[in-house]
Amino acid sequence: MKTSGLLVCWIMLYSMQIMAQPPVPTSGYDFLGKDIQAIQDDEFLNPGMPTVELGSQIFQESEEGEKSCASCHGEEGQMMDKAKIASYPAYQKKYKKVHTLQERIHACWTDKQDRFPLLYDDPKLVALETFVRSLARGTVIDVEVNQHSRALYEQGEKLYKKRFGQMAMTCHHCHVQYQGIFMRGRKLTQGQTNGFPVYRFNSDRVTSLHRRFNECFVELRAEPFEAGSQEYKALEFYIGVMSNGLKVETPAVRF
Amino acid sequence: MGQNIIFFSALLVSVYLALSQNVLADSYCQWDLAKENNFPAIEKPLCDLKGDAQRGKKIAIDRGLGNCLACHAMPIPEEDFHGQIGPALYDVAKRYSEAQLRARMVDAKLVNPQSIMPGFYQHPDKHHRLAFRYEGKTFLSAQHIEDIIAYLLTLKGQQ
Ligand code: HEC
Repeated sequence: MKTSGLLVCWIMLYSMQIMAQPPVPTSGYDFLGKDIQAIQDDEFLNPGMPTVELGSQIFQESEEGEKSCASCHGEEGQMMDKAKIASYPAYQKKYKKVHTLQERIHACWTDKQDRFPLLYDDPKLVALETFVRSLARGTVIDVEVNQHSRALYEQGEKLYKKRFGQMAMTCHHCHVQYQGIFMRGRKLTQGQTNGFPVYRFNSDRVTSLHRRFNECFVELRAEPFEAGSQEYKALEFYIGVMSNGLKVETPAVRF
Repeated sequence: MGQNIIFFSALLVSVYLALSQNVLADSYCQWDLAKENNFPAIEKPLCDLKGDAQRGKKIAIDRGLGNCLACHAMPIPEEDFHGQIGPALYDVAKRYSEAQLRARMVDAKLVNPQSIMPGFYQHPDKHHRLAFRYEGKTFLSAQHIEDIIAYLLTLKGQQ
């Protein structure tokens, strides 16, 4: 009797997990208290704003004989298409590959502006990315997968569902299967990317998405990948699609 | 100067090797998986160690060790924030035998291949991209596991 009950229980749990459908996309914003939401919404209180400001300065800077970002895209970046900003990572016909927004910015940096290449997640690039993304605040995210980018998307899905580190958990465990449920003191969010780069209270800094991935890997007691690695780009792309329908919140405020 | 640096690095490397060998030499105790009423079970205590329920309770609370409270409610009212990921454990001893609990604690994936619950005594080689500092180490030691089992066996449904 006892064991058959257990068996039924187990089969139910097991099948629940297999059948589990992805939940309706919900921004990390909805997991915050009202007081923290108010900080994000207030342009003067939002601690991510200085990074936006820094990004806009770099956007306007130029050395002699060099073009600034602003010279093509408008002093405040007003000539950039918001819907396009909200569509990254996106397949680039010209480069025959998917670019994250940061890579897209870096492509201008090296090709159009002929500047010395920067490493992925260089503070200048993160500031520029934060500024550019913030221009699309409120725009609905629409990341598209096409025949050229499907392989990267599928790689992202595999990584999302792979167990990492000593914890041997997957991204999917916390952010899909158990999202909304309390893990000790904190409610698990969906791990959406619509607010990135985000200001994190926990580390008191503006954090790029790839750095955030690193922080999750460290929690899993796993060896992180590199910022800008193929693996992180694949994850960014896959989660980008999950975030479709949410609005850009950069710079969002999170724990 | 140059020689000093070489000597010093050699010293560091050998100390590191000695330490890491130690960890690896802290040998992993083998276990045999059986079925008890069709449920995965490990009959023999790991390394024939004897568990202590008091220590087990501490390990269950400790965020750096078991941290069972991250996912389970337990009869430990003095601690705040019990997680809700897994079932409450108030009466696990009534529902599972010692051997069944041991299988669950060694590696929850033996019981449920999809489980989010960490394999606390999963063999280190079976982890993917284990961080360097945890190389060759199990999540908990065999003694920790036996202590936790001893504690779980006291949970017969108080509250
Ligand atoms: C990351 C979350 C997590 C952690 C940490 C965790 N567990 Fe679990 N545990 C679960 C889940 C989820 C289940 C439900 C079955 C399944 O999915 O495997 C479970 C099931 C169990 C069960 C079987 C309960 C039943 O009623 O069937 C026991 C016993 C148990 N856990 C003990 C522990 C102990 C002891 C610890 C700490 C050393 C611990 N767990 C840590 C998530 C966790």
